[in-house]
Amino acid sequence: MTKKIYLADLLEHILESLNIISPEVFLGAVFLLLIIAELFLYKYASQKTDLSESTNENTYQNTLWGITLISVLIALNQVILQFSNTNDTFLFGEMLILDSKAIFFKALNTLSVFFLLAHIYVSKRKYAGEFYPLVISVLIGLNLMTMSVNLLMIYLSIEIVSISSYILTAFNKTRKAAEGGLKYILFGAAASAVMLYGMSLLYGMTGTLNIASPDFSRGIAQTDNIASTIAIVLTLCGFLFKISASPFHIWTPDVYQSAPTPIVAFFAVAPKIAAFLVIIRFYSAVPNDLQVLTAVIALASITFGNFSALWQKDTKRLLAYSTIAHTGFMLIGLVTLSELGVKSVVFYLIVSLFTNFSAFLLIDLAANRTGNDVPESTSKFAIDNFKGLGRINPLFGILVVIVMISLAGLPPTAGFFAKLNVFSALWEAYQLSGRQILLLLFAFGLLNTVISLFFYLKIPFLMFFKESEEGQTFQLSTEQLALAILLVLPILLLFFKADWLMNIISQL
Amino acid sequence: MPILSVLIFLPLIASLVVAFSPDQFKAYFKWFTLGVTAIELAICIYLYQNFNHDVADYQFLEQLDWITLPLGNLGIGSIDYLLGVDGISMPMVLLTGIVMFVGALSSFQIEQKERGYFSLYLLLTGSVIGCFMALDMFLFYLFFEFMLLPMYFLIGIWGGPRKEYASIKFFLYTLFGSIFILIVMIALYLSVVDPVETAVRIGLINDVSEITPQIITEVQNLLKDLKIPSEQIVHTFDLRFMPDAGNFLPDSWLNILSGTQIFSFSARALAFILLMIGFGIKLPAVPVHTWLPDAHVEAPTPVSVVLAGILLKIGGYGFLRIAYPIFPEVATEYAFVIVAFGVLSIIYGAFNALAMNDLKKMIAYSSVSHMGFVLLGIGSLTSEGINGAVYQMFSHGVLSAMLFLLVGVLYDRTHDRRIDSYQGLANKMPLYTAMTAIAFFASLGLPAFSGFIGEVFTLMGGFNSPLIPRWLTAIAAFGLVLGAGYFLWTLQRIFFGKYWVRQFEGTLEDLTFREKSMLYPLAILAFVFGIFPHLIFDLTNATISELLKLF
Repeated sequence: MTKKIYLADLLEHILESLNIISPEVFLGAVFLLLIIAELFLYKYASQKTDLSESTNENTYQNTLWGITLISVLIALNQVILQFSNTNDTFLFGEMLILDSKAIFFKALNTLSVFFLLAHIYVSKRKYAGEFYPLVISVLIGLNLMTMSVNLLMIYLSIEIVSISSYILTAFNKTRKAAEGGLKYILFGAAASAVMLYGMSLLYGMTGTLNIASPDFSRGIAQTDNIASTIAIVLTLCGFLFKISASPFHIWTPDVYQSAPTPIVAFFAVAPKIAAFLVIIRFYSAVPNDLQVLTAVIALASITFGNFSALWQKDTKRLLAYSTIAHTGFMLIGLVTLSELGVKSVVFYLIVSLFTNFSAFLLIDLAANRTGNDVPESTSKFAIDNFKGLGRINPLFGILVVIVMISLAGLPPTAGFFAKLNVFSALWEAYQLSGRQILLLLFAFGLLNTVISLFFYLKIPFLMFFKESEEGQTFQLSTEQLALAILLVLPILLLFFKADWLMNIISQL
Repeated sequence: MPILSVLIFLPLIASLVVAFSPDQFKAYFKWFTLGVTAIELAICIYLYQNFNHDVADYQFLEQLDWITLPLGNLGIGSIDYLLGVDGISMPMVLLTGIVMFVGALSSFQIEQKERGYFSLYLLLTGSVIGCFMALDMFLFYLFFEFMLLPMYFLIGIWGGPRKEYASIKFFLYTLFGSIFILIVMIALYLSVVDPVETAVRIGLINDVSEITPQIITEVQNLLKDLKIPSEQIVHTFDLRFMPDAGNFLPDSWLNILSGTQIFSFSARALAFILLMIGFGIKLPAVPVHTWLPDAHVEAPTPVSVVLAGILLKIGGYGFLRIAYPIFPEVATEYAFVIVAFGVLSIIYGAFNALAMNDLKKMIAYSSVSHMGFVLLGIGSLTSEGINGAVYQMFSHGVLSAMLFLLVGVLYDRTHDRRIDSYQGLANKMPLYTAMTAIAFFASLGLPAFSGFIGEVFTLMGGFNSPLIPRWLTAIAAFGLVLGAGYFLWTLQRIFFGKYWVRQFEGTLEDLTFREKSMLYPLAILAFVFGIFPHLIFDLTNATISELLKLF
């Protein structure tokens, strides 16, 4: 009898939960719709009529793109509505949590998909029909990641994201793309295996998978410190892989080089955003002192990222290494484990959303300009192809300078504020703990700005200081320019009025 | 009218105007730039005349709340848009007005990519002048960093054969220094409390305007007894609050009583040293001066003028505005080391200048030597020394601008800067010879010219200072002899004897009207300020005696 009531309650709870995660349910429906629509549209598009073949092809592309865009906007709207009428609730028997942080991060994820679609539109790319459902499934996975408080749920959502990402990486179907995809899947599978192993150890120690429950923390605290730390570090491996922190960064440059550029920009932003929230939740759940460990990882990421970027001849690889370094800077916020530290990470993530999207958009536009014909063996993204572009198109040049300066972290750009926040938190943590490694991180991290400036300036340097080849022209269409400016403006705005964003973040 | 903001935003807006105006106005860009810098100069002179000599405090203050950063459990961080000038910055602002105007005149020779050049030049003007007027450390740092960008492009695009190397070296070197400043800035703002806004936050007063010294003392006492909850504390970048030890959080490492040791230095000493390195690179002091000769040699003449005339002064200004008032006791402790580096710069720079065959390099090293006197004067911590240092900065600004213009005159005609390529120019270019002679004599410290006052006062400061041994200043005085050596020797080699120029067929023209209009006023200024030194000392005296009370 009691069991029956229990079941009814449970069912009601599940129904309620379904109601609350309506954006994800909606996206799931869209996923199915896209697959079905693609089937019919594909047939329509492949109908051969001599005159209108290209038009059919365009309709096919535009319809899929349009459906995706509209549903992403609807999902964004739903997520934003959740802000005002939700308080922290556990869903599906404490599998998920919907708190203001999760909603905010979901909004960021959805926003990145929007920018991804905008990038595809302005660069006039065409993708086979499976592309769009895959993007939607990544978004679903990311949204679930931000809400997960259960180790199993975390694992599942990370896998949803990863598997779709593997396919998207190899989507160009070239040799390079296959290589990148394979590398990604091998490293990814290894990392998630290690993570799963760590999770199983944690389950054994605590008897619960729910990281939000007090049993979890208590169980770990009662275990031997070394044993629990090992389990925690193993679990962290999977997360660190997703944010491409050192020593799990090796896949990054290859994947970035081979994947389609809009997807790369998306990879550089969205999975990191979601994974950082998972890490933040995980860090606040475990009682162990991870400060030194995180500091070492941060230091390693910054160093590997910046020093490797120095030698790159390909802009996409260069930016790949730069994102590794930026991951290191974001990890500094976690080193502090303070309120300010977490806030500064969130600020940093939002800044990197705009800078990375604009950086990849700008190099993509430049690499795919008409007249940039390179031999088959070399990449369009080779850094030498940027010679003199700033002289031909100064507005484009200025935009690139702003983005690069922001990546390097100099005023007057948001990148500077992001670093200022992170390092303020670090100084405070250092003053509290007095650990020498934190001082090392503080000084070395800031001095890395000098090293990073050297390679970030390479692109503006070639664009302005070198003559372009004869007869080069480079014009941006109106919508390309509009999107670029839309992405670059927040970079400046978030410097001059950084407190707007900080105030929003501090309410989370 | 917010006159200081006009000084900053006029060139910034003008820069945008140039950047976005159509190509058919190309020919007018230089006139437009000249006009804007002329207005700037006029405003600077207006400021100079209305500056109250008896007030030590900041004048023409402008304050706006800019960014209020929630720092979570640390309270809030307040960044203000805060401008003002005092006796230390007033001469620098005036100097900026003069040099930027002359630089704009000299820029008339730029004949390629005018739009970019003049746009960047105006951008540079705005950020340099903002740097001298900012009283909020964040704002100062913003201008300080921001001026690197236009400089980088100005050297890198319009420069000489090795411009790429020189521009990136300049950028990285200065950025390296400014990172040190950033480190200290972060530590400082987390340690310093704005007593006025904190009083408002904890409800002692209702509005900022009700502040009295008693309230400030009350807040400081509460702070000392840890009675203010940390969420209520307002952290500040305001340079006016940083010199007061009472405004430091009692548990912060930069508090004067904290005694925290980092690498066997006290935290305050370390912060001071970092600031000194950061600004020392800009000054530049030996051994971190190596970017200067490269940047100068490759930069086009007007950029060299601005670089030597103003940008170097930001180093010295940073000492006096930030490092010294905030860490006075460390400055006293390290006075000997600082002066020793100053003397090293004087002597090393002078010997290098002696050895150089490239005219621009010779002058670049003479700059290193002359800026050494600034370090000597500031380090001496005497009234004569610091007044003399400010004077020396002003005088060197005028004279080095003139020297680089003179090199530019010769280079424009023959594209050769080697000293041994010329002989007997006095016969063909009498006016040019006269101007060079004036500039050289003024620089080597001939009485009746401004260089003399600066050098004598800094040396006097050195001799009178109880903190440094006499022999050190005596060595510095030897730098004067070396200075006379390289200037007179160069004068003799280039201008005297039989006329001969290497590989140059045409006739050497004497100064043109434009060149005269740049050089004559500078020569007159060097003379006027040399005879009436009180024109500057009256400005600086009150502020510097107030500053010295900290020690």
